[in-house]
Amino acid sequence: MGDPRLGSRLKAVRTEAGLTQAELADRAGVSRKTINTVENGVFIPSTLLALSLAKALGTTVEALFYLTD
Amino acid sequence: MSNPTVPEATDEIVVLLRAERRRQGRERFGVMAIVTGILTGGVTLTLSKVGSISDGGASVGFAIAAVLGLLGAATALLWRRGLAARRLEGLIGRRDRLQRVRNDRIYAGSITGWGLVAVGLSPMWRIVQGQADGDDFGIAAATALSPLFVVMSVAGWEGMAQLNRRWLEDEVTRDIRRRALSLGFIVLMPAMTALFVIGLWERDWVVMGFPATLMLAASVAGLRFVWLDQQAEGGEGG
Repeated sequence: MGDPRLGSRLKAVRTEAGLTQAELADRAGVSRKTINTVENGVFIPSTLLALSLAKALGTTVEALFYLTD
Repeated sequence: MSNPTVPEATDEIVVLLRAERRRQGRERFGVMAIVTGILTGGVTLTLSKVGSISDGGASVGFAIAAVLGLLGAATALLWRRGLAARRLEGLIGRRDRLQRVRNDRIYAGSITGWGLVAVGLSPMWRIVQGQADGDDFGIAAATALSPLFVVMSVAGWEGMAQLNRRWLEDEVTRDIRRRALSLGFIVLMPAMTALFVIGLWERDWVVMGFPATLMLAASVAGLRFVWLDQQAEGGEGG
């Protein structure tokens, strides 16, 4: 389930890196639907998943997610 | 911000997902019609044995069952898996591919289980009347086990899930599972309570209604799981 307090730059960073959802999913070892739900704010990733995504994109968790308030 | 070479692959997945969803919807309608036909036939057979309906009524019931079965079979055949499904499977990863297979199995179990419930009605009636033979007990046991198969599939306890645990288990799946099983439980509680109340007056109906009640909760959980998983797949854009 999503939470409006969590902002995400995942889609922007992914497209900047030249990756499709499926490619990022493959790199991070998750399903494409995981990427889709996180990008759309439907699902809040755990710390582990956020770190995996940041590692797969060669960035930090703070660069991918932020608090909206 | 966007790289023009990148979204194309994702866009193709989105287009294929939409096409697949339309096809699956029609195919699933076909499967549902077949199972409704079996259910209608099973209920008609049981009611005619109990003597609750006339021969004419039974004929109408069997005719409806036959029409539903034929309509369902034709629909499922016309919209069976084709090129789009195979192309989609080539584009998505193994994880997503296996999760789609799991969803198909859960959907099939959630719907065909009702067919088994219908088939089990007559044997169960003979059991409660004290006229059963060995086969009747076997069929009744199979009827009661079919909801369990659905619940085990949703919970990730059956063979395929255990074998491919690495690919099938992830955070989104666990979240979807929790929500699906919660809804199944919410349906199960009042349904079992209602069955208990009915049993205070009509004990035979508790035995007859037990597999259907379990199947109701299991199929609600199964269909909710499939629906939430499809929602998670998206299709709105890359």
